[in-house]
Amino acid sequence: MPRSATRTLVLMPVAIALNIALGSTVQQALKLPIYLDSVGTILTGVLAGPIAGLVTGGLTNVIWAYVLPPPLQAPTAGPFAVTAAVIGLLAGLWGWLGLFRARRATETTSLFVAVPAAALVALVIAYTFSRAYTSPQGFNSVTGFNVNAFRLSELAFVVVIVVFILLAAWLLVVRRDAGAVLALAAGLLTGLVAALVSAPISAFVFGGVTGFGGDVIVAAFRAAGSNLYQATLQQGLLSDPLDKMITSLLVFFVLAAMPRRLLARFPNGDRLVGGAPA
Amino acid sequence: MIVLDQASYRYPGTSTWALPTTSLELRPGEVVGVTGANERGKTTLCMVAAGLAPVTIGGELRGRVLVDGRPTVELAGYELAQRCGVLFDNPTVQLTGLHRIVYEEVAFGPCNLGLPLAEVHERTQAALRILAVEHLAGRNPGHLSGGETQLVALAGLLAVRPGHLVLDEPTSRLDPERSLQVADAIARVAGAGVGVLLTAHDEELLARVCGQVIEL
Amino acid sequence: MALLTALSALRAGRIQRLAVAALALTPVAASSLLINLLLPAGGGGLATAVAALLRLIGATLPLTLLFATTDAADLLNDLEARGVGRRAVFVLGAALAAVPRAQARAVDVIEAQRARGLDTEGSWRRRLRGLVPLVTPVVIGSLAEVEDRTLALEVRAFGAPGRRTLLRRLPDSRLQRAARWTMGLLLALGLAARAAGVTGP
Repeated sequence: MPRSATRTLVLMPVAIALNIALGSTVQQALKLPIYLDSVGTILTGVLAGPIAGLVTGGLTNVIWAYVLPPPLQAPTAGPFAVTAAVIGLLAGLWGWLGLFRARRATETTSLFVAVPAAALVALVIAYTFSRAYTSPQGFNSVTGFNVNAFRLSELAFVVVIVVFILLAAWLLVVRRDAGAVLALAAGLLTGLVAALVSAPISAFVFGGVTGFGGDVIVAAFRAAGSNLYQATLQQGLLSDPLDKMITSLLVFFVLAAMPRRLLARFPNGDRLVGGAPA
Repeated sequence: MIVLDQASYRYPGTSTWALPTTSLELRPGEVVGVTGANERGKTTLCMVAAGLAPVTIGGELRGRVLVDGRPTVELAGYELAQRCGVLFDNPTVQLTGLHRIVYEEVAFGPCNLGLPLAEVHERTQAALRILAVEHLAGRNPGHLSGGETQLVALAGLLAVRPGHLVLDEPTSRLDPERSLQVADAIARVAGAGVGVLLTAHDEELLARVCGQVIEL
Repeated sequence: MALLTALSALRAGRIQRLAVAALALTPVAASSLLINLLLPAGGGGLATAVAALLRLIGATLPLTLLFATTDAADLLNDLEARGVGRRAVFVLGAALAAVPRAQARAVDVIEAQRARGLDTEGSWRRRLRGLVPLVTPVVIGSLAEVEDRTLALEVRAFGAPGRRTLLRRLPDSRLQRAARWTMGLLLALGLAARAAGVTGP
């Protein structure tokens, strides 16, 4: 076990820069509707623990919003530092639980762990969604007052769960990688929590307007009859799980591609490379 | 004095012994050269002799490695830094990337030690002088040539005043004139009582400065 | 407040930077106006839009102003002189230095993958497929940098306990000290006025 805190201290600023570079330059190059701004945060949490992840996430947004010169500056990122910090904290927890360990593709024991875990996560998500989307407006919609809200909410819920099931199936059947399913489930949970933390910030600090594509979705939910807070929550519950699932998978693939002798040097290294050395 | 007594080492997360069992002694003022084909563990030997492996890197060390009579595994990173400096084979990553001028970059080590300001200046200037790079003091460390970067990195190590130096291929990126300068500097540093462990392909350099050459 | 901003920016000769900072707010402003005005059921009208925008400016301006008028290296140096630990100062300073490096690395990778036929303009499925070849090299390059810099810092006694020696001390004139006290006093007065209900919500 390495005893040097220096490695973690060096990792954090590099991860912050990674968040910003991927979240701006690469995101703009690919023009995908995901944020892509927490790869470094999740990486740091998984490699170096929850505190390092928390600091990395929080500082990323502070620097992005206030310190960087304008072409890069993202003025609305500041208050969302709270969300980013929570994402880093959770990633530390996932890393500590070994969810990002690369497992051998056909290991049957990990299959037994992965499939129920994934199903459990999907259940938790389904429950949360049903609470978030079928509150007063949802019931109204059933009784015929506001049919739009019901359709839109159903759609968001179906999109997230379908993407999760499709990705999980692809990982299991095509890549035969049960370990990645655990990382995917961790991403879905992270996205759920991120949405819950972001919604009040988005609603009460910014009035639902943060200058990203999500604004239109918030407006659509509001047009469909949700109040401001519900609309931002519903938007977050659509965007965040998708973004964090993809980010978690990216981090998992990167870690799997890294040489073990480099990974093993980080504080969480033992839990990442697992069992007997190759 | 640095002593490797039947030392062997493997990196964390691997099962091969990157450094096969090795013994050597490095006495004050002595220059010991190490040759051997690539992948024979020259760089690993540098890390082990300086204590970076296993103290910073982790992994498993068998046998004993003593610096000034104390096992490296018992020392913290900053204590090792004051006993043994290491120049890595790629000097661009040896600079911190934090400083805007070379002078501040070289002063980084003594500043970290919390020395009185006058001593920080004295050590920084002495380190720049012994390598004859005083003219670089005001330059941006990111805009130096390969050879200049190598010398500034070495100056940064010397400013910490370690009792030993480990140099991994110090002249591989230098032109012949700069190589001579480095060879000169090594001789002068050794003359001041510093033990130097030096890996190189360059037979001429080894013959010029080393009292003893080991083949891995 | 706006006058004060303009004055201090002028003095530091960074007014250009502030102007660009204002420009950075325009997409948010446009988005806010559009959504609040054009979507009848979803918006709250002009008043809501302006209120949201003002709140955003209030939240962003003070720190933006600080960094637009202050050199980050000077600020970090002064923070350390005032007792902030070397590790915190390092993380902040290194992050600021690492951002342009990471940007450059990302741009290099994008160019290289485009040259090898990566499709960044096609359908969203094609662009999604571009994610892994773009992200992986950037992240792996960054992690390799972590390893190198860790060793480089260790051999320069970075982990030593206690306080670092500072090469420079920023001059602190009597005028500056007086200005700081005045600003603190004004802030306290403003808060007190608000608590007493003199000014608006």
